[in-house]
Amino acid sequence: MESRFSRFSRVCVFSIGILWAFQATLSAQDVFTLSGKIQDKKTSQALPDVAVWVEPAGKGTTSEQDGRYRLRLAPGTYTMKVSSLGYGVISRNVEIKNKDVVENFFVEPDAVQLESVEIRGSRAVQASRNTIGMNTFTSEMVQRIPALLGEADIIKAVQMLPGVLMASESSSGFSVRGGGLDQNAILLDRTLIYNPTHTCGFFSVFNNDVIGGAEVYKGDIPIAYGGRLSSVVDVSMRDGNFNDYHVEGGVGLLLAKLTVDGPIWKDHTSFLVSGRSTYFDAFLPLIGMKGTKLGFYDVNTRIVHKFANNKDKISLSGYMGQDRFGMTSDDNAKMGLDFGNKMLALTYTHLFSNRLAVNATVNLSDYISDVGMDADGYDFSWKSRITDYGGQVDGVFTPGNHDVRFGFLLRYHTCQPGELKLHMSESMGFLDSAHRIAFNQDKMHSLESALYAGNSQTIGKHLSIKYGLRFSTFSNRGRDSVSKFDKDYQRVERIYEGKRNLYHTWYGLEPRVGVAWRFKHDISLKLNYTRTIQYMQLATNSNSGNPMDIWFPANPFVKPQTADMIALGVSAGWGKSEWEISVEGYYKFMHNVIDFKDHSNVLLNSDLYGELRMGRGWAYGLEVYLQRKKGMVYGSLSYTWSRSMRVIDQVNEGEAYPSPQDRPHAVNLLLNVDPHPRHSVSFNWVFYSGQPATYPVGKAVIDGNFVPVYGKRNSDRLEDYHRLDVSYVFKSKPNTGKRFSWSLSAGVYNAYARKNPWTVSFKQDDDNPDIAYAEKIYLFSAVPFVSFNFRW
Amino acid sequence: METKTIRALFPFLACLLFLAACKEKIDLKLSSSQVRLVVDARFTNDTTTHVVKLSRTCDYFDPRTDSLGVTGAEVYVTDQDGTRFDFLPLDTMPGWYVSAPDVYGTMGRTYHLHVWVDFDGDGAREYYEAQSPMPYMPPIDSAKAVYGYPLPPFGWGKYLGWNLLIYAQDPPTKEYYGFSYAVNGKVYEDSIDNIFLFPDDFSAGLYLRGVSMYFFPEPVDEIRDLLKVVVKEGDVLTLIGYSFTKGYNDYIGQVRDALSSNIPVFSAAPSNIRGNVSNDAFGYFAVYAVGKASCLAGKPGLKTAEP
Repeated sequence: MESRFSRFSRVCVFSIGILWAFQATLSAQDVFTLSGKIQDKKTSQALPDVAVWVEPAGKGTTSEQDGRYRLRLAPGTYTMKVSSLGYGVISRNVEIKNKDVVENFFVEPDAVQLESVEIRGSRAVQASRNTIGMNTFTSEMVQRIPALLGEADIIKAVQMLPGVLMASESSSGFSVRGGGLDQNAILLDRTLIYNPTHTCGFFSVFNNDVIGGAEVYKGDIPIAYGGRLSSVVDVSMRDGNFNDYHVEGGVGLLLAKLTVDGPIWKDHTSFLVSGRSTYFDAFLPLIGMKGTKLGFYDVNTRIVHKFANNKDKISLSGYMGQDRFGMTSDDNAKMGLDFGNKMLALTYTHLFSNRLAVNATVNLSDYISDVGMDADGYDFSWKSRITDYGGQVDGVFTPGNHDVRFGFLLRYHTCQPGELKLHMSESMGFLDSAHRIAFNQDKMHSLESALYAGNSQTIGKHLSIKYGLRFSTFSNRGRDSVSKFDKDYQRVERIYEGKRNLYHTWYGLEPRVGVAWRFKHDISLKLNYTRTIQYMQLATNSNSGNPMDIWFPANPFVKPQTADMIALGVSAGWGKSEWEISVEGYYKFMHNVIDFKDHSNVLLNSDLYGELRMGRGWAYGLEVYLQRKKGMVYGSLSYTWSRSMRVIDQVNEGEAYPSPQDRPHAVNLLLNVDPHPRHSVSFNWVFYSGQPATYPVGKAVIDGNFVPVYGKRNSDRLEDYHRLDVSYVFKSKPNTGKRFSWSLSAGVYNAYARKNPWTVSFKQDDDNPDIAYAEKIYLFSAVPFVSFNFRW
Repeated sequence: METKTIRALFPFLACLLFLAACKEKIDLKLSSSQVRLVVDARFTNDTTTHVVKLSRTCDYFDPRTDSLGVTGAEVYVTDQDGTRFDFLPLDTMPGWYVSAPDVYGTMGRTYHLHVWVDFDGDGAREYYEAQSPMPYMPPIDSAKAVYGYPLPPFGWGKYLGWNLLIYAQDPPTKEYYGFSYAVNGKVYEDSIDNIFLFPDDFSAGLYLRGVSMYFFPEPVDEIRDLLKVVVKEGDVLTLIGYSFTKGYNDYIGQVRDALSSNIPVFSAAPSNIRGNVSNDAFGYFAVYAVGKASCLAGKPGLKTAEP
């Protein structure tokens, strides 16, 4: 990568220069900025992703996370239409003479069906965006998707997108366009969350009651994001209400939650506090599991202050979550696993002018996994941890006909891959005195940075282009020990690096370019190329990951992973502006992909790097997405055909094999039916080709045991996976003017009780040891759920 | 540093996590593969008849496992000085080749297994070989059987019975121990799937002053059917210790992983076990040292405290 830098950088710089020169000639005509902010009329909360459409110019955009929007228009008289799902439509005439114009909007929630103009506006805006494979979600959209135990979950919504595959039954892990499970940047208020799951994946860390919105990028990743190969899921917490206090909560079969928000200083400062907790544990003694801990809790907080000048805003977001697994034996020995994330983000936004806004964020992310045992006479604990201290300055500058994004990022990582402590006391009976053993793997320190700039611009009525460059670096810092390995991965040398010494640096360029052509009738064609680099990897040798998996950095031995993806997409709409369809194809090539050698030892291995095997991967696919956004019956249907392959040194004898995420056919159907304002029904049907598996092709009999002999890796497949979820929601009367509203949800996860294989094991019959059989393990049959939610 | 202690928690965590998991037998058609020679050879410092078992692999669902023995082979072991120990076929057990009863190995020396056999039936013999050093096994000073409740770190539960304690000096170097036991001379739990692996991560350099290695509960009704052996007062208990090479210790671990259920959260992708026999044979030539100490199961006067 280093050797390629100089030639590649010259090409990129030259290309960008050409594009700037080209657009400069086109933007010489007089155009002015129409900008403003869109807020909820009742709560004063900024509203992201609101469609803004301007006629007769035929131009549109959507508001950013802070509610701001910008458009470039020639002088003239226009009609603006501002609309969003769940809000009414505002039309306003505006005249642009010879200067920039600011138009702010306060929109009201509206339970009545939206006018078709909203859909037209949204779709035209979507088409005008020069991004392939980008989706946005709101809390309301997520709420409509039936979920396990009724707990709405943004990650489950993401998993319904074409090109996104759930890692395993009910897991919150997912693969995007053939990428690995660790190749997704999961962000909460711009802060990386290293393990976004609770209960080993059945729930995600995102409490839907505090989500303001989420943006999902499946490959055409904006230059402001980096560090992961395959996707970005950028989740934002909503602001608390600036005018009134509100309480909302819910009680389900196994989980309860409560959210309080309101003003601290009316119109200026708001707070939001939300907590969730399971109470699985309370029911376990009923099935004979006394002394067992199982569940999680999490807390979200957010304070926002808007300055009187309406140009500055500061926010502080926090999250803390903890999972617990454990049991106490009859003789009072305790063992268990606790793990959890913490994050804190302080963000300052300043609007320098209508053309320049800058966000500055400092944040902290911390993930700890802790296995422990406490028995009579001895105890031990094993702990791993990763902590990030980060900062990012991100600016948007809109001179002329451009939308320039620029900024830089610094992130300091500290990985503690393993810390083992064992204490044995005299009471064990065989020691003369207490005995302590500690084994600490070296902490690994690293500094990641990125500098980026990019531009998106329209050229004429139909063409829009974007181009950007991200320059990222990754430096390893002492104190550390670095092992060198020979070609057989045997350690030949261990070098000790001094404290505070930046002893090795990787760097690379990540160009992102795209072009879009908008035809008549809202048909648009987009082509895009993206390069991404990933410097941090997850050490897991299982297919779906577990809470004890550890993150480790690139270093002199481990090259960063890179991916090059090219995507082509076309989207169109028809009917009374209700229907949308998009078709996207992609090819992705991944370099320095990591896997582990057979029978590797990942935990507490001071030579972890010697267990790694590197190679390459490629993935390609075609995604079709059909969506109806309104009407009595609305929803989406997606179909994905894709393949994902790997070639890794010393794995599968060096031959190509399907990656664990290779599931050629995937179908997602989401159907919402609203026959009455108080009643709604949702159906969610999922189909995946069976997960790749490696079955035995023979056996050896050793000491009477059938020891399997395997063939090629992932040359078999589990049964196809499919499942139907159904939910019904009964709501309080809308538009009564009362503060209190409620909803009662009931449903069934896996309604037709499909026994989807979670795994297949091969066993020897206990009663007849000459006979072997295959055994399918499935996690769920039909799982009913009921939950009651309220808001006051 | 080994991680067996933590890995031992995986099944427990998996059980907790997947309370709702259900199992169902399914019909699967599996592919076949080329038949391979399977070598299961063990050579120790015990003065006894050593056995080399030769067999062939077969389809996974093939029930005819009693006809897999490979006969007609020439099998012998040489030491580093070229001394040869012949292993002769055992007529009653096709595929078994046994040494003379006075053969034994010496700790610190390296042994070499040679197998000549026409495995593919083409009229010419193929050659398979493997070699391994015999690691050092520190002496077990004594063993002691103490009646009472189970003692930590390996004893769990609420039943009364005999704890079998070990007294031995574990040298500061890294060893890979295994243990089994005998009751009145009959050996139990010495097969590859249930031998007690005891890498000395936490005991290297310590004197093991009465660590309880096994617990033999009295056969009360609740657990009677679960007991592998019933120990009575006056029985002779023998603690048998083994010192394995790292390679064989890893091999045992791989076999056990292969025999256990595949749990997606905790299991790696299935992969073939790596032995130490050449020419693509499956299996291992295990060379290890053995140490033993015996004691009597004493009278059931309560000796250890109630948990």
